[in-house]
Amino acid sequence: MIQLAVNVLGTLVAGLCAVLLLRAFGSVRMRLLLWAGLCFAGLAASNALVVADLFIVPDIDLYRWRLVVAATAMLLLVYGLVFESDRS
Amino acid sequence: MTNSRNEIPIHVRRFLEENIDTVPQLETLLMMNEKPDRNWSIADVASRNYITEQRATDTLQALLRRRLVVAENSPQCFRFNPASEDIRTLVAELAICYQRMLSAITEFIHSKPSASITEFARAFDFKKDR
Amino acid sequence: MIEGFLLGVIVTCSFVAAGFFARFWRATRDLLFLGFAAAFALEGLNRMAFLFLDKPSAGDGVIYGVRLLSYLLILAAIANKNRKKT
Repeated sequence: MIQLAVNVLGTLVAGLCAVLLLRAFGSVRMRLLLWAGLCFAGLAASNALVVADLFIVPDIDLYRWRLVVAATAMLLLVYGLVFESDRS
Repeated sequence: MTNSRNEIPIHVRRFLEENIDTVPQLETLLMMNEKPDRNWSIADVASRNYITEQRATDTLQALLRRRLVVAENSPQCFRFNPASEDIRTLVAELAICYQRMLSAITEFIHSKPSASITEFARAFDFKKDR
Repeated sequence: MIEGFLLGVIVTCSFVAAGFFARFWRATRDLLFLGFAAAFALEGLNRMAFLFLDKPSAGDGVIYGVRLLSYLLILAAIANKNRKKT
């Protein structure tokens, strides 16, 4: 039960961050916001996949896909931080 | 005489903190403030400031977002038009300050964190007006 | 093997992100960035714990506790940002 709660919370928190950052990108168009927003969207998806893995499709193992999504998300963030964080 | 950051009047410094991210933004704003009735195109701003048209576009967009200038759409051009009289006065004062303490002000601008970082933080601020 | 590689990517990127956010905090003094830095650093360390577990789908209480803490740090940072008046 705690796993469900933590992962649902994680999905919501990451989802909130994604929404805020992507909305801001919509009006300001600074690319750091895009990459960070996509990262948090990916982390939200990764958390949602944990919930799916444990509770919705317990017979299918989604572990590797969870990791792929999370790793991709983090790479997007690092790319954005390295190349876009010093833009004015 | 050495200019230090402390010599910039506090209200001018706050204006710079909140509205100006780069030196081209400042110089474009002051240039447009000198001729408030003139419509400036992106090419005008680029050539007067010795920057690329892309940089000029970004600069004008930033000033537009801060409501310091307004835009017309065909042909695309921009005009100095701050949101209030207080700001107009402040910009005039900034122009004078910039003449007297150019290095202090440019140093101040360069010491600011980048606009990307401040906009990241602003994204999480529910109180801001967008 | 591949899962280990992916975990390594996640952990490394988490620490790199934490480093950037820590720099942003130093530059802006905005606690929001400190919250993100701490959250990512914590998650990076937390994921490393997976190295010692076979397949943590069953969930270790500490791992979930730490993850919960990192989410709460982010929420706290956002809440703090909106509580203060400039």
